[in-house]
Amino acid sequence: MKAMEMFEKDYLKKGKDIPKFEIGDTVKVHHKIVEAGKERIQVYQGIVIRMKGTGVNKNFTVRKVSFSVGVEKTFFVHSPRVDKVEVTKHSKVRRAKLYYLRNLSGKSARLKERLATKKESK
Amino acid sequence: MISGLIGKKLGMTRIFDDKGNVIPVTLLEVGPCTVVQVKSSSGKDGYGAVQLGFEPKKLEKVNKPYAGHFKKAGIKTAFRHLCEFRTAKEEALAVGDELTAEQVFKENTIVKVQGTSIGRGFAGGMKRHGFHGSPSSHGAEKVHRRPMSAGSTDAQRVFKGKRSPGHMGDQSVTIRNLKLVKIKALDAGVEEPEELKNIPAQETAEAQGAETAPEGKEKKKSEVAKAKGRKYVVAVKGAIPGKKNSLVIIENL
Repeated sequence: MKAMEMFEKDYLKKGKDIPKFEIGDTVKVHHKIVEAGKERIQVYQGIVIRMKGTGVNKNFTVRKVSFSVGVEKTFFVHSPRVDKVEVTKHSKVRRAKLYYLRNLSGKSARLKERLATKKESK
Repeated sequence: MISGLIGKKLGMTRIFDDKGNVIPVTLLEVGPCTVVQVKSSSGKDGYGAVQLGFEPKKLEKVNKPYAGHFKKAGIKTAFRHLCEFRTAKEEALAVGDELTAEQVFKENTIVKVQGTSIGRGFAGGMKRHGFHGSPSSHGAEKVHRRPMSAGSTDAQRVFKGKRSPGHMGDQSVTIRNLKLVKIKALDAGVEEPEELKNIPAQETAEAQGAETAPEGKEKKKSEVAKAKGRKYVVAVKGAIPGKKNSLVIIENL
């Protein structure tokens, strides 16, 4: 396993480049999109409902409701296409995977806001 | 140069290319392999080949015939795995030479990889040949996964090669046209690959002789020794047969 970790190290982001957020956070993902040879950044905003994997495979899923249709996008944390992740809101959540939000809509699909901890506000 | 080396499967992961695309890769620990025997078309073997040994083992741990084979070659260790690679021309390789992945392979080339597929034991027709099986209801009884008819009554026998249940997997499988994406030294730090590139140049400088200062010479020698016997991780795009730690043979196409 050590050999694999050593190999993956080159593809990991370092220090400040690693996006920091928690499950239930409302985030803005700055996603690089290449279209017709041009690169632009698209901002995708939603709630982080899942984090999965380790090392290079670490990924997270962001859910939002767009025109009353639920949309989920999965990003790799260490992908060069993920430019940065901004946290706009923290929420009080009691589980690691928020799949239950898929079955809820409207007012009940909201999460209770919580204030940032000292560590997070740094 | 020799066409391939022996290695070990480490597992699958993914890497990102410079555009940010994800490439699924299988990591293989390849080499170092030691030349145990050189066969030549002009010699008594009648064909050109090089036998390589992989994963050193104590000489006392192997049986007498093998111990004799290694002793004959004048190598102080035995090897867990031996494999032969055919060579077209007379090789400049001698017994005892160590080969690393960097010497044999290049990035962004096409290779083939041979491994042993995962054994599945005695498997039925559905798993082994992809038969569809029978309905789970509508009157079907005790025949849900059976292979059913074995042929017509006209022939009064079952034709050879009729697909039926039997042992599945644990077979040698070769996958061709795989792209070799990356080669990396296992003990290398961040700055190491550049240093590696310098080593062959230093070797040639050493061969040129007396111009270099004696102090520098010693240092270079140790560096060469360090490069020798180095383990490399080779990333190949796509899947490769076998479980983790299983033996694979990787060859240039």
